Amino acid sequence: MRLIKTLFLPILITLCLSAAVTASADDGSFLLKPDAREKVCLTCHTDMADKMKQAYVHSALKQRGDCTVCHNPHTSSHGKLLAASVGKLCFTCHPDRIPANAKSTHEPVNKGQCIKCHDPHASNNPFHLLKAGNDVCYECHKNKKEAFAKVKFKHWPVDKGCTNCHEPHGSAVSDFLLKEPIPNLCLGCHKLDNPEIAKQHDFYPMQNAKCTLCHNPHGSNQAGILYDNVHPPMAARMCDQCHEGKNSPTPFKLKKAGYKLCEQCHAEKVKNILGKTRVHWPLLSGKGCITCHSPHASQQKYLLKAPMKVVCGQCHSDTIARQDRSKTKHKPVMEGKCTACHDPHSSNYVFLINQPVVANMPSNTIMDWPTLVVNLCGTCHNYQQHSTHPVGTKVVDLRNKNTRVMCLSCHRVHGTDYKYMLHFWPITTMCVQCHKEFKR
Amino acid sequence: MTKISWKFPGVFFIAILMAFPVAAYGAGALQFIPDISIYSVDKGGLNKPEGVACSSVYDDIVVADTGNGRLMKYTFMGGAVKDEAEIKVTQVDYPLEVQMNSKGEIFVLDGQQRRIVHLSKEGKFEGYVDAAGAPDSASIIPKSFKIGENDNIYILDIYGARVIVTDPAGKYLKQIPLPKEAGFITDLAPTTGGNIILLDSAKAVLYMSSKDGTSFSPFTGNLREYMDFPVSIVFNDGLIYVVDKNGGSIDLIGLDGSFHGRRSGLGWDEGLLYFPEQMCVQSDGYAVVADRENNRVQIFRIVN
Repeated sequence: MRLIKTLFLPILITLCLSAAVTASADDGSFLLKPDAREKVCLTCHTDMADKMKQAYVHSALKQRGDCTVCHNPHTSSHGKLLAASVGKLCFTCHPDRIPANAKSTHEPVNKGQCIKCHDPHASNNPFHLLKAGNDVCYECHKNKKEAFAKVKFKHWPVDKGCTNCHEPHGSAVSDFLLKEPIPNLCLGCHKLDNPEIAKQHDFYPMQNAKCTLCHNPHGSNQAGILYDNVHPPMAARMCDQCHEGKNSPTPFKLKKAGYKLCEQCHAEKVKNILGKTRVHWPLLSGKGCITCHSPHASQQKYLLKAPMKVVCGQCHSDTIARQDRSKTKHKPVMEGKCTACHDPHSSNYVFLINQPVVANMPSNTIMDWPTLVVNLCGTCHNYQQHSTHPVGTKVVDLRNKNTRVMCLSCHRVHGTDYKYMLHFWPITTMCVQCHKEFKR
Repeated sequence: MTKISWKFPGVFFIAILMAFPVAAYGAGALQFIPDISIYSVDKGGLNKPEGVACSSVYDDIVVADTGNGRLMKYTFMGGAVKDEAEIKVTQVDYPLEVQMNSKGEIFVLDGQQRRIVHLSKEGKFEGYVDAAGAPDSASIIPKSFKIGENDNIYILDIYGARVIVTDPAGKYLKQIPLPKEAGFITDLAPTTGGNIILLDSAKAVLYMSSKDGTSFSPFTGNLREYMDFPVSIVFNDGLIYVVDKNGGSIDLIGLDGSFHGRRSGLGWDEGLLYFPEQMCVQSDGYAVVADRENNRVQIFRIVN
């Protein structure tokens, strides 16, 4: 009897409990009306009935007709009574949308903003996308749409659909969400054994080349969809001006390193650059000019690798960040016109400052620093033509006998945390840095 | 003198509370106490000084007075600066960096020629350091250089993307390629053990190669959180002193890559720095900083 009690009683209790749990999972235990998961919601949400008639319905609704897959019918901590946060909900059923070890991911997917592209219920577009074809992409990538509309030579797969080349969620193999790394992606259509293609590339072995260094994959105004600005030797297919010959075992090896290669054609430019006391050091590196410039073709003026703010910001990220958080923006910095004040190659002044044009002063005059700064700022700001705080070579900074008062004494040109790019705030605090007698 | 009444024990309680984190953080951390500033007003005033060198044996400090195209030599002894002397040689138009070896000889990186000039202790031209015997020695472009143990010279050749080590006479000993993943290397510093440290200004990362190493690898993460735009480094007594030009400070990094704090700050008053370029540590425990945009050299007493 004792054995029965010790062995069978726990088993009996366990069986009863499991039966209770099973029963609770059944809709009946919730006293749900028949078809409650399917139709009860629609009695109030009548607009959804029409929605469900659209061509492409979210499988959770179409196959199971179950709103509670995504919504909690009673309460929720999330908007629209969602069962989880927007960022997580979709991934509960679609966990593999971002490939493992993805090399690139689409930002909205990363942020769980699936509804930027998809209607969570239904739409008339495949994958219940909000818009058809490329229009869904152009919602965010407007500039691509405008550029594509304007260009003379269009890459036809773009017109057919961005997803010809791009994965919309994430790519396990390439950056820019590409389906294949370059050149494999391009070689899928453009066969290198095509004699015309071989001729266009001066018979150099292109099987491992990065096509997008020269070609704009979305289209351009240059034949061969080369970027809009093409380096003349490349346009003339004079590859061996810079590279070893096509029959060399190392055909793409450069004939010289750094600026010495560019000097072959740009001798005068290089001579001027090196003639100044301060050369932008990356120009003297083994990479030389191509640290900032693209040697083949570019979408940017002066064959810059990217917009100037991006190119300069690769090394001077702190300066760009300072401008971004500055209360008052300095227009040239904001617009990425770094060369408004700086010479990116060389200068006779610190910070590689440009020599401003001053009336009655020869252009090769080496100015003292305060004169240079005041005149450079004066190129855009005309304060010195009316009333101004005394500035210039003769005005000693009261904080430091070896420095002079100039624009930079109060302002930091790339920005500060304060208005007017002042070093201190409020303004009185700025003033009493020097005029200490007025400090309270 | 104001007396604090025991009727307000809260004051002491708060004081004790405030002292704790400071004491914990400050344990072993170096402090920079502003000591002297050099302006050389009598010699026309320093103009954009970029380089400083401290002698490990003598009491000399040599300053690259860049804007004036000259060197200035001082004796710094007993906490005072004296014997100000100007050194001007035709081979140095635009001194950017300066170093001294154990004999007090002066080495200058000239920005106009982009060559390292060797001067005697008195400032007489002795020759160039061209790393004779190095592969492609004709194409060397030194961005920076340092003198290490045994007076060996460490040259950062940015054209050849390498560090070249020469003997004290400038003859080639070895070379190590710069790390390929680096953004842009701007300075180097040999340690007392013969390791070499590199500074990547673009990525704010430090790299190291062991004494007999053939490559560099990073030993810090991205330090941008702590500094704006680091431009030069010095190794002294187990610490790396990083000059943060845009931040106007000296940042201290341990050999394990840990951040030990930030000293000084951006400003014009003495004790503050405005776009400093380089520094050196004098044997008596003083940090000498080329405070470029303040047109002065500042000397800080380093205290534990």
